[in-house]
Amino acid sequence: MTVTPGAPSPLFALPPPTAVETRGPAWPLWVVYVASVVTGLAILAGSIGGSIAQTPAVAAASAALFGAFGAVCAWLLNKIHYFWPLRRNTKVLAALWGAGAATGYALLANIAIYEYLADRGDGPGWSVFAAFTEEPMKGLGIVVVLLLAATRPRTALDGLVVGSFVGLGFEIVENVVQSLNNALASPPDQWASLTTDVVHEVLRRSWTGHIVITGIAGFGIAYAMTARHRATVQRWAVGVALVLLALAGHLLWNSHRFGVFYVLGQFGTLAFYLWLIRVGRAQEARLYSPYLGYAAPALLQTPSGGTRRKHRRSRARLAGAIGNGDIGRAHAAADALAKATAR
Amino acid sequence: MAGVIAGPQPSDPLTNYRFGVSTNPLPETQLPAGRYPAATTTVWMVSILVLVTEAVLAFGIPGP
Repeated sequence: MTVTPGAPSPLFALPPPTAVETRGPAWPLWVVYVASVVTGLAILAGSIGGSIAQTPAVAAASAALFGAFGAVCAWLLNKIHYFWPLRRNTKVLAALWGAGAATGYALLANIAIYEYLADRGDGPGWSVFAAFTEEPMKGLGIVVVLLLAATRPRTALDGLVVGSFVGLGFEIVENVVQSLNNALASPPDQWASLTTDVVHEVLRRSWTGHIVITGIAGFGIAYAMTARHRATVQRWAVGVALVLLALAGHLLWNSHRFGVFYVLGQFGTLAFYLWLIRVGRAQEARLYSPYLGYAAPALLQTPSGGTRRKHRRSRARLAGAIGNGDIGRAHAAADALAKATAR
Repeated sequence: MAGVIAGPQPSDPLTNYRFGVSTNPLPETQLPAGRYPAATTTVWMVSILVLVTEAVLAFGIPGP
């Protein structure tokens, strides 16, 4: 069989779709989502509106800088899926929950805890409790977004990416708020304060903080939802364990104690996150690889040399597209495979 | 479109992916489309959980 680059690629078949399922209405969940995000943003605006009015230039620069770095992080997170990516809408929903609902309500609770402890002369101790206010709100967002997603979660990797985007939205807003507070507390060096916070985010917080921690929790939640081949007890045990691990990671992150174990814990959390990505990709491979049976053998010939990696990615995309019945994406992947094979 | 060409048998080694050899049979249908099936019941559970959590957070913790 010959494969012509650029030509239409009828070199695969799509299996028939599954029977249509009856599903309940999603509007109650939409009400919860929209109400939580809108009220969360309102709480946030009420809390930091005064700070923004005092330093509008620093606030604008902070939003621009942390937003730009967040875009870089989002670009990296988009690379996690090999087979079937999350819809863009799902990722936007996740980031908005993190930026609005989770930050707003966590801020409210954190302020209440701070004032409670401040009355006892231990105000700074509030940060140890932040994990207990922030993680539940982010976790709820993961559940809500996974249930609202137009395409249901396929593997735990979907939850890891949704969790990472919830964490990303949370982290961007948290950075802006904290940088504003720091800038206001250090006149006349407000710009130096902002620069320090941005460098801190790029060098440390981004790979040890909310993105990684919430991604781990998301993996656990989606594992409990999708690992139907496992016993119920095992599914939920893994899910609960990972959510608790994320909570512990957040506690460690905020503790700034334990010396070298603090540093090792940060690296360990990142390493665990990266390992979960690998586990999730293996789950995806087990789910989607059989669908390559619908592709012509000539399409799947592995080229030698530098195009091999690109070929693997295209083959994964083809398997995902066939499995989900996306003819356009399957054609694009087949064209990419044909070009890689012809080289 | 669909059904243009007959695919190879699932035992074809070319169907094996980098992450492991698939011994699954050729899937008979596409994966189910649409939202997560448990949404019907979970919607209400999550809704109540969210509302209760938010109510607790909104009232804050009790003072001394």
